[in-house]
Amino acid sequence: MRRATPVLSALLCTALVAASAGCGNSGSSSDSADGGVLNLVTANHPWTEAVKSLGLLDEYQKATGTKVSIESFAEDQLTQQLTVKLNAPNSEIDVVMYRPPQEGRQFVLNGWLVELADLTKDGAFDWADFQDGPRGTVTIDNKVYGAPIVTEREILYYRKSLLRQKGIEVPKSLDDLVAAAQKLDDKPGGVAGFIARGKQANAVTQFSSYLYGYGGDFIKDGKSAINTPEAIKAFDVYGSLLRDYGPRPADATLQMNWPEALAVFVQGKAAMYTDADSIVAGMLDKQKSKITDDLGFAPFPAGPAGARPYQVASWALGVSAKAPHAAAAKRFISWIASKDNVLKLQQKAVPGPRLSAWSSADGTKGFPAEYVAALNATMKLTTTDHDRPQVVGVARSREIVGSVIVASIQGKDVAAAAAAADKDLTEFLKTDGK
Amino acid sequence: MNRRLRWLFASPATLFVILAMVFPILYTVRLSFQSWSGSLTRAPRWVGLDNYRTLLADGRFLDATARTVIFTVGAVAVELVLGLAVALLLERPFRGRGLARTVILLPLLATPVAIGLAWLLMLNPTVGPVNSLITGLGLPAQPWLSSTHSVLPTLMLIDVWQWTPMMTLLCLAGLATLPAETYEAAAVDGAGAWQRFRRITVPLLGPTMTAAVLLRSIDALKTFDIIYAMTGGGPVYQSETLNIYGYITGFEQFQFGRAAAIVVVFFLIVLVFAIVLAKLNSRWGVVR
Repeated sequence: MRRATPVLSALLCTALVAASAGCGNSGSSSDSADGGVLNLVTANHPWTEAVKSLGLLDEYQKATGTKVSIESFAEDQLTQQLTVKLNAPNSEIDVVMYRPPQEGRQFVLNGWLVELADLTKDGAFDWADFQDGPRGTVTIDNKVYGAPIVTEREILYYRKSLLRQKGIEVPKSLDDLVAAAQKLDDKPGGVAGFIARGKQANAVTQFSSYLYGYGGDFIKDGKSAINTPEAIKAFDVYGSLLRDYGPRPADATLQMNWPEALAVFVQGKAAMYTDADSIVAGMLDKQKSKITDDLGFAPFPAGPAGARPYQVASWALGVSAKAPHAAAAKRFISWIASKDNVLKLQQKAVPGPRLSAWSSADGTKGFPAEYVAALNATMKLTTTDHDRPQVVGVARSREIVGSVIVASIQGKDVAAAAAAADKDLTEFLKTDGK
Repeated sequence: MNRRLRWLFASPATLFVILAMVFPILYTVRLSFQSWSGSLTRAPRWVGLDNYRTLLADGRFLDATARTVIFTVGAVAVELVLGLAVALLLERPFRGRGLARTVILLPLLATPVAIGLAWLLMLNPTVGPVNSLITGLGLPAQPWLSSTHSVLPTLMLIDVWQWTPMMTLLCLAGLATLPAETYEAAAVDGAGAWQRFRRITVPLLGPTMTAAVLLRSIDALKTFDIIYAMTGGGPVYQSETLNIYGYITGFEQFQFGRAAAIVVVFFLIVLVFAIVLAKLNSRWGVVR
């Protein structure tokens, strides 16, 4: 008992910290920070590193007199930090870097972000130059809440030499992918035919492109759609790829998020890998990767409903609803996400949101030519603007969908798992955001 | 001296206890009757016993509760037996005993998250050294943390690896206080080694062992860092204990009301464990 009390209070204090972030009056927004200081909260992300190394903030201060101060956090901690900071009534924060697919709806529901309508109407900003998918990702109920800064698509990574040895063409359809995985799978040689994420919630985003390819989606017309024949087919294909042609021992992939799957691939222990294009740096680094010179890239294979991979804004900049300098914050965003700056950032290998940067020679020289070709081909497809269920409680919805992926990998009854998850998702949708 | 003055002297400590312990507990209990997403612009909604009702019908919560108890009882039992055995070995004089005593304590000194990450690399089913080693010996590769069947035993094994030294340490301290005369008398009367252990060591070490089990059990019940760092509760919730479930519900799913209800239930479980073990302890105390 004597021990129990401090133990518990430590736990409770954690909850308290999140809760007690604000007590006081709500702050008011003044219009301009020119000559003042603008506060920007970001993730420790290559985008932030590139902004710093290019000296963009100094440049902005010289041009406008506004100093931009950055506070950055590890990606995992950023959400918690923002939860506290955006709640605080006398918040100092003007601009936040956030993950629209994961927390966009939560932030908007909580009233933490303002609409950026003026930005999208600004001709010089050229909203149409942003890729289709990412524009959709930052739009909720026809209102735009963020400017995309980093984008992501699912692509197919493969080992050129292995495909060549077996005389296999680069898979163009999901059927081709399954056939190729079967031929490439070399269990005695220790090389799996295929690898991808198998960890319950983490796998959902990379499974999404399979789902769309078979004509399914997570939610249709506000109702769970994970028990449709299309969805069940997609669950079945994804799971059996990992079960039959994935790395050994069985179930090895169940705890694999992208770092673990990537490790298997760069160790040369898998022939093909579908995941986000943003993780390419780990494959190109010769210190970490054995396959740098053998790496092939292709657009995500087409399913019966066509090639419909996700293309999302994985990160965006938004303006805090309590920003002391809201107008100046919007001016800064329109500057940092301008054509010129996106081009500069992309040269530092940050995959940007603008079509103009991807079609220019300058904007693509930081990447391998085949990779750029695969990405440009993806951008011409009818991509999907979300890679996970579009709900407020994303984490819970991912768990539900992920349970079917896991059941499929384990070789359990996929239809039964999908029916059970469908019930959970339907139940969840009733209370989500309420 | 004025009797009221003693309250004044005690007031800083009292105030601290109220602020740091009583208030958070009451706040959590209140939160457990509400539905709250963590936003100050959307006020918490009073839902009465709804959170508790949901939990009682939630298979995942009941599984997590059972798992928390299994993890604690299983790991602590093994730690007690191994800890006592190692303590008995280390109690005898032999060359290098000092060094052995130091080395055996090393796992205790490391940070749990660092241990978790190190084990995670070693137990990686495809590229980890542990599987390389056992396949080298001709044994089949194991999925360890990836399999729904082996994840909890693997985590318990790591807990045993880290915390057996603490049991050893406590048992060694207890053994050092046992009277040598009793053993000599027993030896004279012709008691063998097993009889001496069974009839003297175990009864006399009882209070020490119950205290050790009490401390370790409460510690094991609240294990969070190592499980969160290694599995996050997966695969498919199969390593999810109440603490992990509470964390996920609160800080990943932003259902702070339900998370508070989980913490309250967890608190009650710790309380029950503590009371039962404290009762045992006082009984052993009488024997002594």
